[in-house]
Amino acid sequence: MTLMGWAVVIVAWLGVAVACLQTTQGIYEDHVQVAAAARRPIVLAPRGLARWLTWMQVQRFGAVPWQFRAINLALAAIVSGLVGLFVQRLGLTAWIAAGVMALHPLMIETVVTLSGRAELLAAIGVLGACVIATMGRMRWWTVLLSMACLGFGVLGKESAIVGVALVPLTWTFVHPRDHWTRVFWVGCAVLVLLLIAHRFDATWSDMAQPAVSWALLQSGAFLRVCALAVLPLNQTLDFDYDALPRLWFVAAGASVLVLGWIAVTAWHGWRVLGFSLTWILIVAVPRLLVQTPRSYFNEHQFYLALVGVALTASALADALTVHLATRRRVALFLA
Amino acid sequence: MRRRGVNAWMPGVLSLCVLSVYALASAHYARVWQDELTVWTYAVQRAPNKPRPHLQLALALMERHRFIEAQFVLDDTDRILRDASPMPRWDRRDAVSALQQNRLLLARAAGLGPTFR
Repeated sequence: MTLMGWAVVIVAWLGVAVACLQTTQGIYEDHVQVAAAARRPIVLAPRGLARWLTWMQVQRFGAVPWQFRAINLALAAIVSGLVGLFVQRLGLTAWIAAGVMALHPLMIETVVTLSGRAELLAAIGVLGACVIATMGRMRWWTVLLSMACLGFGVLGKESAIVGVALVPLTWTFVHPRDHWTRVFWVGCAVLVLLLIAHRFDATWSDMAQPAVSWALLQSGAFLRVCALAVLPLNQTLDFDYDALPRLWFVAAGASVLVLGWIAVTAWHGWRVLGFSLTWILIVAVPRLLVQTPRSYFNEHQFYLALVGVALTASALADALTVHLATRRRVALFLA
Repeated sequence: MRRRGVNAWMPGVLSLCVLSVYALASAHYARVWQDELTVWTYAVQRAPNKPRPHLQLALALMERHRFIEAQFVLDDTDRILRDASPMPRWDRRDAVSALQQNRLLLARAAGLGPTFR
């Protein structure tokens, strides 16, 4: 089954890749990205790596839209491979998680736009760090390697900073009895939020909204993308949130709190579910605090959270297998 | 024996079915992102009362020298902005400014005077 699963995933991914490559025109903000890369190609700052990669590609091959997408597809394949490796090290079925990451419609926006490249590089950095975190106990060289991977991710996009919380989260999952790891993880999570708030404070000042209003709006957007993760219908790059009633956003805010409560309680029962939900929330929560009014929570911002969805899918399939096997054993025993 | 086989394969087969549906949906959605015209036409269908997709669609139409259709789309944007639809203040301000800019672009591209509406 595993071999067949991988084979189907690879063939289906090739089909999706061919569909993605059908383009004749730079799209969305591609021209802005190319211009920015031409202005300042080498920058040791967030998004610098994405910019340098674009500049390099334009210098060597010209600004050819399908080639932009080809590179993005290659990066997305690396991300899917890393997700497979990560999930396998956590003891779950790898091909299902890699398949979700490679084939889910929510990844399309990231792969087909040049600005999505930053998101892909960030995901590679964070996942690399998390894979390292699954390699036995914490040692100085694993910490250094993890930090190097996170640095790589941040050079892709600043959103990779959530890795500072995701890596200890992985450690906590792999070593559940280590008290200091938990303390470290909580400390890092707080640090992440403070860092992000400090970095983005006063940005968009002329468009700033009350914090609660922004958090509710983003909760609504986040919940919509979560629903799309389960049932990808009616996707669009510019959803009209202004058309929704205020009550919907209040309900969405409450739902996010409930999701948080489920994540915490699940750690005591079904740990994988707790881990996956916490992963998704860690990626999403900073966006409920940091105001980016021109860009509500959207599909490419959910790309790293999709790892949590992939983990859940894999865990569900494994739980179903165990359930069916147990039921059969019980039936045999009773017989 | 047959039943045990079915039980062992079922989660895998179920997962394959779900992944196949995802792959089909992805391939379909990737076609939407073929070019500016397809993506913004799709966005306008999904959000008919939002100015930004209309403004972007008008630009995409102008790029293809489809000026009459672009004019209709800009008129639609004007209608949306005049309606009392809820929208953040800065969003409305940006949309009004972009609408004026697009009208000028259209007039220039179509070789018409600035009074063209």
